[in-house]
Amino acid sequence: MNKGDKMKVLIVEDEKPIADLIQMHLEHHGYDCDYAPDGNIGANKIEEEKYDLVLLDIMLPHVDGYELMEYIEPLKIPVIFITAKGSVKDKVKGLQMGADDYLVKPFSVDELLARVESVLRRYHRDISTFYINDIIIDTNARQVKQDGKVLNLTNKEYDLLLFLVRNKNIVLYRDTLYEKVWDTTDLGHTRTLDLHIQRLRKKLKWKDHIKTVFGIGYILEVDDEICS
Amino acid sequence: MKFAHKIIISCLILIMAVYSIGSTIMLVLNHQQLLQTTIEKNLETHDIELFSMETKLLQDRTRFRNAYKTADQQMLERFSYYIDSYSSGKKNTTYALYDNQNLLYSTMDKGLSKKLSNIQTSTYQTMTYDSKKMMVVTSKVSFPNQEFYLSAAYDLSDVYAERTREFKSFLLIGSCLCIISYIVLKFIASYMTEPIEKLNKAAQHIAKGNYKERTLIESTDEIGELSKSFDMMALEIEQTISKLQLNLEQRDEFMGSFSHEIKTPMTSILGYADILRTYDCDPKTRTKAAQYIYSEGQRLASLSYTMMDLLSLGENEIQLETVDAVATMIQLENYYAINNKKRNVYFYSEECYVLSHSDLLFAMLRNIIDNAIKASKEDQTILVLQSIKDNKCIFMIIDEGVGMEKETIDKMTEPFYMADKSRARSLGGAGLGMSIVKRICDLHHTNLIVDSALGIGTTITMTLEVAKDE
Repeated sequence: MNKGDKMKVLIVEDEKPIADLIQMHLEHHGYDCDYAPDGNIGANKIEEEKYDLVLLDIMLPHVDGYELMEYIEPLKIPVIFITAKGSVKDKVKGLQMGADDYLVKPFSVDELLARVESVLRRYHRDISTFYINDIIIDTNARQVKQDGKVLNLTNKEYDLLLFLVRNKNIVLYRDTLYEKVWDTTDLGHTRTLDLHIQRLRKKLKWKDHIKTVFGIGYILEVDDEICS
Repeated sequence: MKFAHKIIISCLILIMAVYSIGSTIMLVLNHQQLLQTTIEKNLETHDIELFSMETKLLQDRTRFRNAYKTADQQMLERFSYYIDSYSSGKKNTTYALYDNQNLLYSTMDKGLSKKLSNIQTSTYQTMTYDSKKMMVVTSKVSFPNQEFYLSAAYDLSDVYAERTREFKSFLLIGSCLCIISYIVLKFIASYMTEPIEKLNKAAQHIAKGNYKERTLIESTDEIGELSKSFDMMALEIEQTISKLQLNLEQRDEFMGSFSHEIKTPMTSILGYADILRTYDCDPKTRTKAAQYIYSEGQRLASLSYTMMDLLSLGENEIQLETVDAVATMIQLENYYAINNKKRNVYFYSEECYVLSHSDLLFAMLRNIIDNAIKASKEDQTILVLQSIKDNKCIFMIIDEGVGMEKETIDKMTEPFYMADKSRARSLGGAGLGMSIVKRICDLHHTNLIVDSALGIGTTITMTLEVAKDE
């Protein structure tokens, strides 16, 4: 897998708002996205292009998701069903048809991203290593190396760093940042966040990269776009 | 006890009882008859023998008197001679001769002759001697100047032996009859109870869930009638259960579609909101996110309003009252003049009062007209006509929009069904409008008539009852 190649994802979903949402989110995280509003167009696109993953809605007009699944399955492309049909029966049916995962609406985009990465990891097509500035993050080993040396980061420091890396060059709001990395809805713990930011800056010597934006939050600035 | 056994046992008891009673009566009558006949025969014999003896003795006495001057000794010999001659060859009859006190001659047993000391001559006697039934007749022998009595004892054992034989036959035949009856009854009983078994099995099958089961017993007797009633009941059950299952399926489908219609905009709203609160987006992204949150939110709002309308119509009947159709048409005209940018909706009405409900009539027509507008382009015309024909009020909504294919027409009134999702959604629809129209039509006990062709247009016709003049 080349460092420069981006993952290509096909989104087959007839609800435009949701399709846009997924596309926005995945592109933000470094995936290339294509969109098909129904089963027929989806089948056409799969024929024309090579995709690393297909996100498939079940309730589609004309050709429904299950029918399209039968078409995709022999091509051995990873598929995740996205649908409002969430009963156990539906999930079992979807998985038995060969889908690699099943996502029920309403879902959070974070969950979507996590499942996408999980499925791709299974196929060894995931973005498992991040090359950011002078560090290398190995997500399989949960290890961060700088100048060849393994850095000693706590769990939360690692999680925080990974989150910053995934949302690089964008200002992140403090409360939400804390909520997502610490996975809690308890408010008023931003002191913890601040401390962790400070420690990261120190350990990575990234005072110039992890910047504070007053009144808003933090931003990880990197000028290199090398990652794979 | 099983019903079949009940039949068998009661019939068997009846047969045996009737047989026993009948046979017993016959047995007894036969015996009486035979006894009577035997007695009379014996009496006759006795009379004959007596008379014969008297005659002969008279002759003998005359002969002896002439020969010997006295005849007593010889007479006794003659008595004995005659008695012996009567006795020969007859095992059953024994005789005894008496004068007033003494036994003169006898072929009887000692004991028997002793028993006869005090005897009557008027009639015969029956007695038991030596465990044999006997009949004894004593008659005075008519003899000049002397009194002699002749007793004849007839053994009646044969008569009684006959009775015993008949009784044995009765028992034997009775036993055979019992066995044969039992076998025959067994077949009869199982034949009779077979329909009952059928009914039982059918009931069990139906209880297990096989509602198509029927008994189909053809006989015209009570069991046949029971079978008919049973089958009718089974049919009712089958139909009711089918209806209930259909209702349940419809309910499930409705809930499925409904939850999908809610979850989808929810996903968008939450997703975009999450993006907005996580990081500081570029203006383009922010605008896009905000726009989607708004439009999907509106979609949820419209959905909930129409859902409430649909649910409030409920299953209840409504009271139909007199409504001025023209007034409703004017109301619609004003509504569309204000709310609609389109000016091409034209209303034509004729004076008419209908049996309806003013709010529902308005809502129904509004939903149909809204659909017509959604199907039509900006410049296309929509006609809303109301007129009277054959004493009924007819409403027609005609558009020249995209039209529908057959599949769409059939599914049009299903909740949440949208022929062209993207167009409907973009115009704020949720697929419930026609369901509401259908519900309102049902409440008026009337139907929608849909005429449509792709690319040409759609005409929807609805008929209401004209209100009677008061």
